[in-house]
Amino acid sequence: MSRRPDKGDEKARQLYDRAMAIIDEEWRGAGATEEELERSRLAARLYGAGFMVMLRDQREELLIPLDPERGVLLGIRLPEGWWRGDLAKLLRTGEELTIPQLIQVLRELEECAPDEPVVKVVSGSAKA
Amino acid sequence: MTLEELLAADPNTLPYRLRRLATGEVVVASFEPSTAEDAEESGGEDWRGAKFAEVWPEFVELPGTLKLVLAHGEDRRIQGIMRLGQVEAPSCPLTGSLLESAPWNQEGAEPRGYAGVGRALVRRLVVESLRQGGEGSILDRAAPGSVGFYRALGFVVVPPGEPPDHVFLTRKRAFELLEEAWGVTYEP
Repeated sequence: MSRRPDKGDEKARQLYDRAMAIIDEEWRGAGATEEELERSRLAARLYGAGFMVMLRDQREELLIPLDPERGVLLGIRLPEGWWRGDLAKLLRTGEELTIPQLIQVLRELEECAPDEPVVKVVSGSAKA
Repeated sequence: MTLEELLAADPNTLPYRLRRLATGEVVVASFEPSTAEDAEESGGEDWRGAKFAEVWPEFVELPGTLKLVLAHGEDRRIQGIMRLGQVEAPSCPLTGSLLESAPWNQEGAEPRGYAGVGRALVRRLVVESLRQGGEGSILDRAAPGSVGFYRALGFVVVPPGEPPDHVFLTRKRAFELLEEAWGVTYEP
């Protein structure tokens, strides 16, 4: 799996950061805000760690990062703690939920926590 | 080729096919570890228009940096270059990669040399993802001008609705790229 870090890794990290700064600058030039860039970095860290949910239907495939610290999907807010327990297994990298399956999951959650809003779109364009 | 055969093979010498646009001829390329000797070429006049021109001459001497060159013939130029990323945990995507086609192979170059370089670089990343214990999925950052390239290969922009900064290749699409090149099939 991961290699043991060495001096070459540190230099590689610095070079990679320089390359990412080049991309940042291009996005700023294209009109991206610092908030958008920061949110994008957070999403990338979550994806890289395997926290994501994939929604698929016949036309499109959506991936939404899950922030386990705040209990939210970036794009869809869920009741605090909902991702713990049995349902958490649905939110591992590579798991594929169809949109109807996700809706079923959300219904089950609603039954578990009827006083909490089940789903609230906070950003993004998720179709669930 | 089966998945087992793919993973047993040297990932650098799999047949990565390119098309010479001037003649339509299909040629085979392979990956080689870059060395300090490649700094002059990657930092030279021909690479001046590369997006990451300032970092490649330093990356080439580090382990994990690969160059794509033609497997046969006299043309030994670097057709594409990449930094391999890492799979941080089982089933996680390969992250932290950096890749770029030589300026003369990029869309819009005139005359353009070879088609298929970017696709070859991404296929090498898919194989790397699998070899490191991943499932073939890749997460990359895309510059504004590169989003179309990634989308054409089947990457999706993530997260949905956000500025298209990161692009993700799902396991399914990753295997479609492998099947297209080497007949490796997707087995969920």
